[in-house]
Amino acid sequence: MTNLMNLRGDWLNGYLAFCKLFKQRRFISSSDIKNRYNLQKAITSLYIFPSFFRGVHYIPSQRERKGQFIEKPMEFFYDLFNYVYGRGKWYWALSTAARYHGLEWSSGMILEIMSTKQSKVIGVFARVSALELKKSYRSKVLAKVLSSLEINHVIIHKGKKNSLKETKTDPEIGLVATKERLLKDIELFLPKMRIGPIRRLYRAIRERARAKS
Amino acid sequence: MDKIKNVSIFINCMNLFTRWAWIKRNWLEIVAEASLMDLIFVGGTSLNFVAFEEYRASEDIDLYNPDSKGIDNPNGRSEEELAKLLSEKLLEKGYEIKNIEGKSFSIGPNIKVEIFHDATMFKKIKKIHIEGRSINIFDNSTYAEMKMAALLCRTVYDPRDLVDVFILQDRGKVHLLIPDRECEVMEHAFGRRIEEIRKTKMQDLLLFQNKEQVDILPYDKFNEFKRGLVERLPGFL
Repeated sequence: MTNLMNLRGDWLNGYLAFCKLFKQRRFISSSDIKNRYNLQKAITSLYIFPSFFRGVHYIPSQRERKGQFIEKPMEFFYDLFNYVYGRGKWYWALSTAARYHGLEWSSGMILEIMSTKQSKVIGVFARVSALELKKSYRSKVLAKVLSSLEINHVIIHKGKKNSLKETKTDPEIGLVATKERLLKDIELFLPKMRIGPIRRLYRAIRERARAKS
Repeated sequence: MDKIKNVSIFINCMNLFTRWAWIKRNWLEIVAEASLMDLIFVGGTSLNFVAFEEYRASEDIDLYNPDSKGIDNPNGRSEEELAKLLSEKLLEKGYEIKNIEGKSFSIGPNIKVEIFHDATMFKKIKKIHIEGRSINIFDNSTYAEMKMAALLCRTVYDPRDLVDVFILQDRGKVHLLIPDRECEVMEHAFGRRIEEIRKTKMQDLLLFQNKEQVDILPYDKFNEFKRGLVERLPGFL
């Protein structure tokens, strides 16, 4: 399946071969792996970690794989969203944008983005808790890895293409909703939000923004 | 999706994720500088770093001005004046300062530093030394009084206040009292606030506590505390 050979002329198909095949990539699809490697082996041997999207996997660095953690959580999410939604097709929104603009400082454990493709709530906390209850070694490792992200919820809102125009580009974190867009998004998503604490958070942000203006 | 080029860009400082780590590294120097101006370190960050072991994330630095300028204290110093002075001192030390707006400014990765004074005069100030630096703090009873006021008077209910009050009682062994002040919520929406406290669940804590902190928090005890508080509160009015 691989095209790598060691000095004795044997085919290599372990971690080293996997890294060589997919070097410099952080996220990869199942089909990409299947074309060149045994997907099941990559999963069970923890050469790849699951992302929160079906068929998308994260390739950890050797350090991350050995240490069972994700070194740069923000880069992880930034690259993941770019991979899934495409660069420039999503932006940091709502409470995350509010933290960026200094309008919110209590919600460090959630991330919110706006994409034009889908809405989705990723319960990282619930996943880690479920993995911790399982007995397999792989589950324990993945629980540890996901905990290292230090995020409990990721909320992806489905927005309109036009809203992408009301963003600013931050050299460090990419597109972020402007304050104006943020307030428009709050008005738009406040009635739709089903998670009580987050609905309350939106109200608090709106309140602070009004007080500031 | 397969066609999307998977490029990882080099990002040297992802500020939204590094805030808590940044505060952990720098709070002492900032607070020590503020203490030279007789400001007192208060709020959730002080409870997490000084009073107790870390139990939740907090992304701001609150400082109390005990010598606020006013009609009754014309020789005092205004919060605006102190905010400007402190931001200048920190700028000299090499910190990045932004958005100096009245009583607050942003430092480093957009961390809010706010200086405030409210109607209640708090006097139980303690000077403590950490790593060779001197900082001003209050005793736990004063923190509890402030936190009870936040819990019952904040316009939009914030479950962080409930967790702080619980920690103060559970670990700090303080006796909680109803705040001796008037506020809009206590006057007109006390029933609603009690209901909000009653409805607080673990899900509410997930906004500001990581998994480890949630796991450490004795949730049964927290629930029992919450129930007790909800039963006692109506009797105060």
